[in-house]
Amino acid sequence: MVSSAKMTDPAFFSRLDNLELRARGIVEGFMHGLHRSPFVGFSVEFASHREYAQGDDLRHVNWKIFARQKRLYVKEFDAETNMNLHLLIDVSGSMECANSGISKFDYGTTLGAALAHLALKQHDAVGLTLYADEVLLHLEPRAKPHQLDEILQAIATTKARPKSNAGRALSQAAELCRHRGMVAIISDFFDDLPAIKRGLDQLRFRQHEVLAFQVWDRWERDLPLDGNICFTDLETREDITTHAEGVREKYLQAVNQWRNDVQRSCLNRGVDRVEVVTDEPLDQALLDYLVHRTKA
Amino acid sequence: MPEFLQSSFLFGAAAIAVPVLIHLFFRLKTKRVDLGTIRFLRIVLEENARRRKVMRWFLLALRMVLIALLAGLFARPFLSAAAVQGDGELLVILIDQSATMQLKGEHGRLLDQAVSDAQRLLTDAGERARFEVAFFDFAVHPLGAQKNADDRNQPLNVPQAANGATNYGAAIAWARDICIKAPEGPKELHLFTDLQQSGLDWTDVEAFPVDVKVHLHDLGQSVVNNLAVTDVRTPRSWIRPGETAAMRASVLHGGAFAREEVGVVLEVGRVPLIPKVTSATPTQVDFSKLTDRITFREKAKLEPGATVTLDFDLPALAEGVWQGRVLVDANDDLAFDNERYFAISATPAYHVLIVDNGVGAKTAASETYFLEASLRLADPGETYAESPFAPTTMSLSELERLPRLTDYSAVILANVPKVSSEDAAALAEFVKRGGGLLVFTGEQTTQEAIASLQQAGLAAGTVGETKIAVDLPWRFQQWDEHHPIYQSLSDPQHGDLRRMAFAAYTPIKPSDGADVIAEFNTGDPAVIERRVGQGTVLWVTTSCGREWSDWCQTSLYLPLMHQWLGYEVGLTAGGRVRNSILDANPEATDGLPTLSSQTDRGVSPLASSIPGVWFLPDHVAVINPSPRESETERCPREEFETRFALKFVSDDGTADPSSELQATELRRDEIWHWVACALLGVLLLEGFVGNRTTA
Repeated sequence: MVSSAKMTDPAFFSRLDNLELRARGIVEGFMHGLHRSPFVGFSVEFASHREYAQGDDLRHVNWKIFARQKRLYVKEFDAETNMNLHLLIDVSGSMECANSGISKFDYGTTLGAALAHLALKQHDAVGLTLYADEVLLHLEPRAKPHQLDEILQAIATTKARPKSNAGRALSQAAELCRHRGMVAIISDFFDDLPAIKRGLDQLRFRQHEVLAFQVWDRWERDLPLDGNICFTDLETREDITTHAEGVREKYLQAVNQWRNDVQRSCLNRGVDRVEVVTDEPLDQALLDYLVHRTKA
Repeated sequence: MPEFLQSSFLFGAAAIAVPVLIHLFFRLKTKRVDLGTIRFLRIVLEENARRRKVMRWFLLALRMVLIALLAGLFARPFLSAAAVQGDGELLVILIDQSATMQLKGEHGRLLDQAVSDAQRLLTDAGERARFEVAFFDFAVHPLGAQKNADDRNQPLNVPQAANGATNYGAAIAWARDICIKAPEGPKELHLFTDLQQSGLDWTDVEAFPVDVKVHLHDLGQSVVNNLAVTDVRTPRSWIRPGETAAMRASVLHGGAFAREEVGVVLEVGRVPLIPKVTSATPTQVDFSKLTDRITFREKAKLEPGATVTLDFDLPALAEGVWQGRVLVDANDDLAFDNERYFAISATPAYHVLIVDNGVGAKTAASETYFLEASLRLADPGETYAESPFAPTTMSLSELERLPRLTDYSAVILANVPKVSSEDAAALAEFVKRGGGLLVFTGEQTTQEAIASLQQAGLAAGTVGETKIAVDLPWRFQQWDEHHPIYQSLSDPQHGDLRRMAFAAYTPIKPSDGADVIAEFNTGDPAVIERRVGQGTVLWVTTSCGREWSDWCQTSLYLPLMHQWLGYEVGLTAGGRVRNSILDANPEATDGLPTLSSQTDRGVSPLASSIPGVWFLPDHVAVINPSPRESETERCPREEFETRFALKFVSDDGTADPSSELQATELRRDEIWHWVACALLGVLLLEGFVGNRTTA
């Protein structure tokens, strides 16, 4: 039997070709790990009892009352209100960076699929927007059971675009996401920061609860390399050759500066930013989502 | 321009290409890595691109210099002497003036021949040559640097008396120092000697500089017919009048053939009148002027290389100083060691007058009871023949005046309450004539009590109020370990003076002319010395009895009293008769002052290097040649070279030691250490720059 910890391990799921299987496995593993968590039972709440009628599900019969009163009662639950989850997944060229075994694109789409599956299990409506330099694909949020299939199909058939224009793409996405809900952006945010800020502003203007998953490749973030290395930009295909150990200190300073700028921009707009690295499990990302789900 | 000893290593400089190739190789061999963006790298690299480019080339240049320096280091660079020499050639001349150089050669004494050859060497030297000339025996006697043509034409003064032992170690060390300190340039050492085996000093020596050409002028003779009296000794050089003395003499035969019936004569006689001398003019007494002369004559058969010991029993000797000699009555090649001197002092015990305050009246309660016992070395009423002192105790209270002091050698004042002006004047006169005065303080020692002594010039300073210990006792803290009194006590294994405890002492502030030779742990004087005329006054600032201390019962009390009083009468620093030999070996001088050193009361006659019995103001010095010098065996030239790590230039003068040694030995003008320093500096710089340079 596979442990729940392993079920959220990206290295494990990177070996699975089927995205749906991946998403389901991650969510099941995650839920299995949360069986003692305070989120158990959030999907339906107990409301009252009524007399049993033909056709009622026998699983809802309260057998303790039957034992005392010799009469059949079934438990009634209040169904939760549907929530709209808009998944915005960056499919630009920079997301193809795969130095840790799994690309940021795969990691991000897996995360998106897992979120979609998780949301649909709670009868939430889930929509999908794939973007690069513009919106490439948009699915309206729906809570129907086959919505997950459509989402997974859309992800699977989409190829990364080399160019990126997050500002324009987020603006377009904000126009498309008309129903108020939660917007989960999965991107590396390697773009012009003012443009990104404008896109976030528009999403917030539409009263969306925005959750930004910033996806990093380990080598991008920490540059744990030595020697003379030719670095290639996946979007522009430009090369820079340098000694990694010689520039590491300054590089980390620049990266941290960028991370702080993005974090500050998100905080100023009430956007929660979650940083994920492709060699780390998805637990934290899913947990962050659930926390925001309860607030939404 | 530097030259190189091992220039083949310079080919290693071709390795300069290595860093260039490595540089190029690593530029070609790069690993490719895809990143989502290189915007951060661009930020970093655009900040200081020009600086990095300069640093890269600088780093490459440093690495090339590093290789070049490494090759240069192995090639052993040196600055040729011609490039750096300031003055001309340096000639160092060492002339052996030891006793064996008195041997007759073809042209007179070997020493005269050596001086003549050295003089010729000086005359023939170039105009720009500089000279350093020294005679040596057991010590080196430099004549001073001679730097111009006028100096070298001046004749060398030939030493007339040559009696010292040979010490090549000192001579070679002196020459080595001269050569090392001299500016770069051609240097030559000329050694005029007889290569005496016994002159090899077997202490550690440093290697002689290889760039100095060492010329040996061997003047020695292969066979020397020498008879020598190498030792004359008596169990004691100080006896009581009327005692007999047993003498033992050793005679060495250094010749090649056995000799029969060699006469050995011992002559001894009493010095009729001790000559009045000053410290600057030691005097000898001619044997013809001795009285009560006794002569012993023995015959001995001497085998080659053997030493024969002869015993002579002297009769009872009357009071006085007896001087004598043992000589071999035969002809040989070396005369300096044919006789050997000795002296015996037949002297009664020194009379010491102990003056106390009368308390206790010669019982154990008396303050001077233990003092007198320590000097007498016998029970009350008895005497001990071996004791150097004959004490007489008197109480000042019983006397109107002190007795006639001419009968005494020393006077001890032990806690005397008051001395009359007349007695103080007599004491002052007594000390000025050479008598000793030892003063112990006590409860009755006050400034008022010593006023008369102060007036007579015998006080050591101003007396303060008695200091009494409250909790911890006072102790001796430090003392002059080089003072004759404390020399024998300087080793704690012979008794630690700090262990003696005192409940009280008399603080004295020393006056001008008084020297503090021991201190208490409070810093106050414990013993003060003051010279008055030819005598000495010693002030001990505590009681000599048990009033303030139990030191009378310690094992240090007796030796300390004998040292103090012995110093007053001249028994310290070797006693009245002091034997020494003309040798640098300190063990051979029997602990006496070494060459040219000042004794406690005058100049040592060792400085004159003339054997004999010398009379000095406070003692008799018996000086004899070193028995080591009587051994005339020669050492091989190779042994000498090995011993002093040098190489003689061959007789034809063609060999250049520096060329022979250059492959393995170090030249003085090599500059590899500077290259090594530069290499280290560049290495550190390379590391520093390399860690801060990016591609």
